[in-house]
Amino acid sequence: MDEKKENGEILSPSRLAWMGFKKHKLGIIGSIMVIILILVSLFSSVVAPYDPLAMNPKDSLRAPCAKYWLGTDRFGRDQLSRLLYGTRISMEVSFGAIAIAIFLGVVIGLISGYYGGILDNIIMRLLDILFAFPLLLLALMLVAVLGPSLENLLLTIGFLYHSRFARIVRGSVLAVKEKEFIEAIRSVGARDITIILFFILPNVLSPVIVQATFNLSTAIMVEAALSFLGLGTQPPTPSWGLMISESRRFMELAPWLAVFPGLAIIFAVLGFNLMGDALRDALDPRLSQR
Amino acid sequence: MLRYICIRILSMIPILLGVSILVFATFHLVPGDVVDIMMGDEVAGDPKVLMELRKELNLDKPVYLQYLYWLWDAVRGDLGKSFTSGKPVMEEILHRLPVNVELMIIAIAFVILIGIPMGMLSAYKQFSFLDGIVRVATIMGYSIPNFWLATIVVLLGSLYFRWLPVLQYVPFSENPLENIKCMVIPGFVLGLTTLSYIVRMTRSSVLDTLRQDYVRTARAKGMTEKLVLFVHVLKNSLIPVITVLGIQIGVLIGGLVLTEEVFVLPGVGRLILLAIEQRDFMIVTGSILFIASVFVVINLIVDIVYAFLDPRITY
Repeated sequence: MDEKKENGEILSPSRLAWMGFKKHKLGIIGSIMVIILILVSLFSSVVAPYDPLAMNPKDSLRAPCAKYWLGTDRFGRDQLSRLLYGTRISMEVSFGAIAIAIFLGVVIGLISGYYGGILDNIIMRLLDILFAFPLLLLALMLVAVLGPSLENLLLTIGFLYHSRFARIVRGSVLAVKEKEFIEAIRSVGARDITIILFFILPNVLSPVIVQATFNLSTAIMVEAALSFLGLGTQPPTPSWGLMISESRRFMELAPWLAVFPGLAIIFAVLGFNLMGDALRDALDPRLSQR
Repeated sequence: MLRYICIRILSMIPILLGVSILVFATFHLVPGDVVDIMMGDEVAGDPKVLMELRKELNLDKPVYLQYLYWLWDAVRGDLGKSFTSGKPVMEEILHRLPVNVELMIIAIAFVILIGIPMGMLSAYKQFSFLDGIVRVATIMGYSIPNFWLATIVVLLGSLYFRWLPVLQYVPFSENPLENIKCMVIPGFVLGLTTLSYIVRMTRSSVLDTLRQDYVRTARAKGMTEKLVLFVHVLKNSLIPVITVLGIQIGVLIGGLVLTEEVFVLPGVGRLILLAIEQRDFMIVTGSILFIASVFVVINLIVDIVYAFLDPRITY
């Protein structure tokens, strides 16, 4: 990323943002954590010492040792390998869900904010309904009815989170669309779609990026929580939440099974939160907290 | 003011209607109909009986009429009967609600009693060692999943310490002291994430307020530091804190399900989880409609409190 700065081709606002971001030490740490997570999830088959699904009855419930760094579960499956593969599940669900949420939210927010009027009113009141539910409970109900599975969980989180992006995008569009340069573009006869995609969208992206980073961490948390309750990833797929849930039956015999998946969740959530803080300070100075 | 409150109460109605439509629609997403689920494996039963049952439950009517019947019942507090136990859903909810209310009260008490003073102190001594610790602790605090923390607390409590009467719920009416003993720790665990947000919010809000001119004026006219802090700074810093607390109540309600599950407390959250397991969707949707309605009302109250606290809000 350093080379990017040196070749000087970047426009000044993004360069400024990058300089702001660089000053944020915790943000750099957070980004490194996120990069580690992404690399691990891409290459889990390379870094994992064992097959996460391979059962090994005679090595059941082993404490952490040289052979199994983080011990084994009741089927003798290597916990380290399961955690590393769990990273992939966690990233898949959170990135997938947030991608859906961003797509829906940005489209709805752009339309609602740009056209305004009755349409805007209807859309915003519909979103209010989603905000009227405690999020986790609504997710719980939807997943329970759709049937617990990784795909349903991903779709549910994506559907529920789009409302946040829609609100933010709409707010930013309202601010941008009154600016003179939009007026100027309209006066030369640009079509609405051109104005929205090429002139408004780029100007509302930074709050979306900041929000996305924070929502990735909540999505990781929600995935883990629902899998913990048996409503997300199904066994034998290794998922952090599910591993904590499974560990509870052997807690006294094998406490390490309860500890490490939790640390993995904390690592991931912390990484995205720290990165989000720094991004917010760099991209959206109005919102920054000291 | 009265007018504002009335308008806010009226604006609740379309939201509650929307909530009910969403819950009703979800209920109808379930493959098959209620009768199929109720009968379970006995679907092969007498078709005549099934028809009658459907008629009794208004399933032979068009969907919008079904919704209106259902809504009318719900408004009067009838959320249908559980498929499994046959008891009214409302009765099941009300029976377990005290656990949730108590947990929420404990959690919110922790959040306010620890969070606000800690945030103030951290802001007042900005850049001090204490401030550093508080900042790191809050970042950690909201990165820890509360169901994991709960699991670890149960593990430590049962394995290494004997001070925790864990996993043995005692109703308040039976033995208040024992009851509080077994609820305090779950309540604290439930509130931890929110606590971190509140500390953070209080800190940044107090920092903002401390820079205001009126604080300088108050100091200049010789007010003691204590008075400045508690009279001028605290009151004016609380508004954004209350906003965050209002938002966090939804998070707390969601957290209840997880906390109850880990600490084996008989609240509405476990009722829902058990019902999901037994595919008793009458209880699932009924409870969620109930909780969402309560949540809407809580938000209304937060908004009104907010309006009281901030004279700048015009109605």
